[in-house]
Amino acid sequence: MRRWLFAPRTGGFLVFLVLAVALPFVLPNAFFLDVAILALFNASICVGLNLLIGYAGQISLGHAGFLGIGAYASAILTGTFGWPAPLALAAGAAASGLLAFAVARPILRLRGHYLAMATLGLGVIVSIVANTERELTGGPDGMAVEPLSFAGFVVEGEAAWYWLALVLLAATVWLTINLVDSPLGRGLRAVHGSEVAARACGVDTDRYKVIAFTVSAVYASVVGSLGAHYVGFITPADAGFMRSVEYVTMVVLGGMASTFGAVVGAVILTALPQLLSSFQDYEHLVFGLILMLTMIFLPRGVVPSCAALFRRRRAP
Amino acid sequence: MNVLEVRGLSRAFGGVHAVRELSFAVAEGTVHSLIGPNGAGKTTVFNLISGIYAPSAGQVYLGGAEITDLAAHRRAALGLARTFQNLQVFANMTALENVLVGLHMRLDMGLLPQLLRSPALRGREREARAEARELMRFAGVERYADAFPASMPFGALKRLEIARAVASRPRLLLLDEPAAGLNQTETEDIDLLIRKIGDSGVTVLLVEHDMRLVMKISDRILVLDNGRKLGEGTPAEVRRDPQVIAAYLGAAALGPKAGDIHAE
Ligand SMILES: Nc1ncnc2c1ncn2[C@@H]1O[C@H](COP(=O)(O)OP(=O)(O)OP(=O)(O)O)[C@@H](O)[C@H]1O
Ligand SMILES: [Mg+2]
Repeated sequence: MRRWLFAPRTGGFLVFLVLAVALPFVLPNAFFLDVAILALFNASICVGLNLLIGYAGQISLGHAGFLGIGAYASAILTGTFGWPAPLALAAGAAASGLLAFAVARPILRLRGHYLAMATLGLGVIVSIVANTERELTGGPDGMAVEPLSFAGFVVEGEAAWYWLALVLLAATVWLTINLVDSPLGRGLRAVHGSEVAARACGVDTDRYKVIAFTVSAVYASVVGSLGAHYVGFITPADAGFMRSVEYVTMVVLGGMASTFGAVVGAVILTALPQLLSSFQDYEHLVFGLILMLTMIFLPRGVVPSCAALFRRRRAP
Repeated sequence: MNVLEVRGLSRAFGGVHAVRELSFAVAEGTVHSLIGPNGAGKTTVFNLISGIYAPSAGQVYLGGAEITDLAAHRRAALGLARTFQNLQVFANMTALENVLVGLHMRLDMGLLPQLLRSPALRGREREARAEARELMRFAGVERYADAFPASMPFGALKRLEIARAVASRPRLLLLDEPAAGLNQTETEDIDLLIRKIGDSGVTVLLVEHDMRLVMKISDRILVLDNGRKLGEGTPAEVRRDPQVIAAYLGAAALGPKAGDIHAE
């Protein structure tokens, strides 16, 4: 029973669902609900990114690029070409997945700074394309995105979006928890633990890194599509370097190699700047500071550190 | 029948010729030891056999098939397993999960059933966990099953690596200094464990500085010095080889271990 309660797949997931379902009933107004929706979206991205950063131990400073691909695919294909929204979303996800798959092998052969630079370059290229292809993307001014609709049903209002974002996050969390605890997930963690030992155990480490990179890119792309429909407007900055850094900061703050840690990190760092409006001018400064302080004082992140504290307390 | 055959194997690092034109074979079902002074090239030989490094020249055959250009994980799939001189346990996983990675090749399946945790996967996972526990019992570390490596003593970590390596049911197991850093009783336990592994039909290639252990356990011994083969034979033959004695007596001035070569 206790095991059941404390396992992420059962107790942890239940706690998460209860909190998330109760949240809209206690939030005072639409502004808070809007923040909550953005937090859920960011959490989905971070849960995927954590597969790559936290579990497989590979950095990416370019994941906002995949978010951008999803967002622009949805904006352009639905707006300019009149595609149904789900089809546009799927096309964006497929494009992101293919691009991630194609570049992952050469990129993930790099290590440390080189990997960081290569992924950064990837993200920067996406935002440059978004900036320069004015006819398609509206250039630096950005472009409007149609509301999300499928089969004659339009997703409207904060409440509907909240539930949609929650279903997306719940699915993401569920799939990711399953994956982490599967042979593939152990292979990913082995890559982080010791790459030579993983190879000696028969783990095709290159392939596993590619899978983590591709899966996390697809998650980001799907969120990019939905987020674009929700906000109704996108700019190249949404795919930019600073956004990528924000996602990494969320993962690091919440806790690397902890799925709920990624959720908590995303919620904290989405809510803080929105709630403390005086923050906004210094947002990037504050993100940098939080990243530094976390690395120094909570290198394992908020959730794993708290969990360790809790376990130590309970132990006799 | 030779499980392993190495022909003309060489590897240089910049100007350092770590291994030079080395040829030898390991017969099925034997315990074969590779000894030599520090820096002789023993670990490099292991890295060349297991595919961590590529050789500058020469070939490696496993069970008669050439594996010289094969990726490390493919060699593992052909029945090669190893441990590491500098421990390479997965610190981010429990001890049991470490052993489960050793079972990896038999568990891997498509992405979708793993994302959805299909009933077939669940069944296989259950069996794998039971088998991993059994392997930990075999290696004498079952009580650490749910522990993380950071909280395990050094000797247990060495055994954990061995449990992880035998999990893949290898034909050939490379052990790089399994007794290094262990005290007398722990070394004797490792001795027993290696014998048990040998008795289970696994061919063992062993690198070890503890001469008492090597002399007791080996069917054949290969002596390496400066990357070259200095001598080869049964423990009795190697002990009498004047060249070997000379090389070891040279090293004996630096440490007490080499003197053990004369001990029974
Ligand atoms: N990756 C490497 N890069 C450069 N030089 C290396 C590398 N690996 C090994 N060497 C060099 O090759 C030589 C043989 O090293 P190796 O580790 O194989 O020796 P060893 O016999 O295992 O020694 P020990 O008993 O100390 O473990 C040494 O001179 C070492 O410095
Ligand atoms: Mg060595």
